[in-house]
Amino acid sequence: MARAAGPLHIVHGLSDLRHAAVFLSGDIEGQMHSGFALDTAAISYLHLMRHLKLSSNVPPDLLLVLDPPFSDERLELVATLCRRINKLNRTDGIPYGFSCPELRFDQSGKLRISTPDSGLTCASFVLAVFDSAGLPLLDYTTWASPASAADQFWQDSIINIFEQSGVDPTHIELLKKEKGVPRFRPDQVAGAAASESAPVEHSRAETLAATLRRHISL
Amino acid sequence: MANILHRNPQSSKTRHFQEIESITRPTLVAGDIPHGWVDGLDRFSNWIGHRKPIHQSCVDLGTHIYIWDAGKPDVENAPYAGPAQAEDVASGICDGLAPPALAALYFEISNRLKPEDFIRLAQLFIVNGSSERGLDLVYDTIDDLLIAGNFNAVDTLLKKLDCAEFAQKVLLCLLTATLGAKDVLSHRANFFKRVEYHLSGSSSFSPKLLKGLD
Repeated sequence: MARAAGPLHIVHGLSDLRHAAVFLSGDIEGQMHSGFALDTAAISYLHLMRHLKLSSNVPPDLLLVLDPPFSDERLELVATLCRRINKLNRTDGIPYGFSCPELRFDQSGKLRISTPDSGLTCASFVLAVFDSAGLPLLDYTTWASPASAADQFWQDSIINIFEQSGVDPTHIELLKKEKGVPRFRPDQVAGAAASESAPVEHSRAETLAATLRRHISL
Repeated sequence: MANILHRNPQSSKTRHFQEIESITRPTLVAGDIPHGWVDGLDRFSNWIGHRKPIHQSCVDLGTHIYIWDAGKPDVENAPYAGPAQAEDVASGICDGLAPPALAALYFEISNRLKPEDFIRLAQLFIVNGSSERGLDLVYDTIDDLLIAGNFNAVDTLLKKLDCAEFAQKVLLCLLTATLGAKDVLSHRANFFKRVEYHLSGSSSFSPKLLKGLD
């Protein structure tokens, strides 16, 4: 099947979906959210909803579904990987954190977060899955480190929310240690999925993210 | 017929084993194999590459044969199908091996299927149009072995598999499922080269197909 047409490669219906695509949605807390839209019998979505909550439900306020710049054959395996991750992690979930999404599979082959990593965001979860399928979506080396002041402010806000929500203090300590690491935003990840090729550099991801935001606001 | 156990297929090998272990095993010995099945079983054993006919192995080992109703993807979780469908399965095996959405034969020798048996069964699913089930079976088989730290079994599998016997989807799935453990799988690099060589013989091959899987 050909990749979805148009400058942003937006998937308009199930018939356009080539096994696995990236969705961008609004979030109940006002933040953007990203994850996978899947054309499989087992699950139709997979996204890291919040700390330890891996969801296969329809995301709230679904805005766009983007067709990634990879072949049908490889996207079918991304969908297979999503089903496997769902099987292994749907009960215990995946911890939320700021760790780099690169090489999230360890030598055992299981998607796992081991110390000193804290976990993944909704966006870095998407990146981790693509990365683990041998399809890096972003060129991580082009993200500034330490993160921008705005991104560090966001990381602080997450830590505050976790502290107020009674999340395990050990996990919060891990988050604090990671503060300042590069942040990969949902709109950047969705933008990269709309790109002509991957991995996508930071400046290009920013441009595409801005284009997506304009598209959504129309 | 009474000694044959029917179950719907399990998409997860783990669940498959758990189910096998949780039931009372019926033993299917030589005299119990319906006469018309013997040719079909032996054709199946030949097809999946077992040197000894399955029905003879079962007689020798006193082990069991399980028949699953492969079903269609949309009836994956359908309840027990009953003897009538068992006849269909038997006839499917005897008439030409697993017509689409009909039959898959699981067999068990020495109480455990080998990893390559699962890969061959996955191939059967895929060529019969059940790609999702087949790919899940490949991924589950490999990932379960890796999680258990059984790297040798995976490495041996990669060394032994003949690329020409498997669909492109199976080969790509094997490479994807083993990517995270490539540093500890000494035969994987050679397997990648064999896959690349095999697939490059197709006119539709693009090097992009394997990008990032080496």
